[in-house]
Amino acid sequence: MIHSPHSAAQACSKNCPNSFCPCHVLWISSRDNSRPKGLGFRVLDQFDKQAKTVFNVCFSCLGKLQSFVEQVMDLVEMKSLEFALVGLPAISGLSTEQRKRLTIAVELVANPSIIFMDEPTSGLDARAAAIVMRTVRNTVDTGRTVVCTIHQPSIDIFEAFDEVCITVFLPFLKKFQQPM
Amino acid sequence: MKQEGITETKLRLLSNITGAFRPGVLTALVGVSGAGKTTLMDVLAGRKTGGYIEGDIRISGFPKNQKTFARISGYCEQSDIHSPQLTVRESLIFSAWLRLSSDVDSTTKMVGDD
Repeated sequence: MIHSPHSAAQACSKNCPNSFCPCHVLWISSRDNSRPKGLGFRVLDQFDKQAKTVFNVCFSCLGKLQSFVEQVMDLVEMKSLEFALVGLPAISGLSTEQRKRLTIAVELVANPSIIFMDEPTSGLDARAAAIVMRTVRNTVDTGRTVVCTIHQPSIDIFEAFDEVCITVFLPFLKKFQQPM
Repeated sequence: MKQEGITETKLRLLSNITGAFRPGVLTALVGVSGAGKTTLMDVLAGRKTGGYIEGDIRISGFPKNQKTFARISGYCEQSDIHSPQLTVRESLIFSAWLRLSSDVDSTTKMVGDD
């Protein structure tokens, strides 16, 4: 589905359920006259003010991060692996799928509103891909915007997406546009 | 390539792309190999610095400012690069340490996570 940019932007301002959600519409246009008007803008800055853990002076900064890191680990379902060594790919440590989730988690601790993922399910088997997609889905359910590139998705993965943007070769497009 | 008769010095990788990503929604960018999915995403995330980028990118209707956008966006590369000697928790703390504001007092909780 290739969106008409204007209607997509309007739909977004209507569909946004939570006024505090970290909402951004990413807007791309090759024309200048298609600018949306009157759209809200909210930066992800509504942090709760809760900090309790303090180790010593040296690690105090680290200590305060703990609860935040904890939440991210819950989100990517890596709480049980928290003290596991990352190790070398295909030799020791985490599996490919766990590494993928760690990559997502590493981005998540920066508390972004929008996350880009380049082929998160490539090179994974069906089960591993499903686990990674569940993580991605969990991320989206926190109100973040996620954009994934995807290549030959299975139907289970494909159905996890809310929207699809398709890039096409112009020659193909012209072929379809020709009158029958 | 010039020897084979291609006179242009610039190569167009993406052309005439228009679209919007709605907030709080999971969007798939689908295309055949070489269609420019990764290139498009690199451009949107501000990772392509070389070459020429035309057109405009807007966040909630406002022109994208890379300095602020880098603070509110994440990018998971295709290749997972991590330090093999660290644990999962250490990797996360390291990233949080580098990328969150130094005023970590206020960043202990994730927004939208009740």
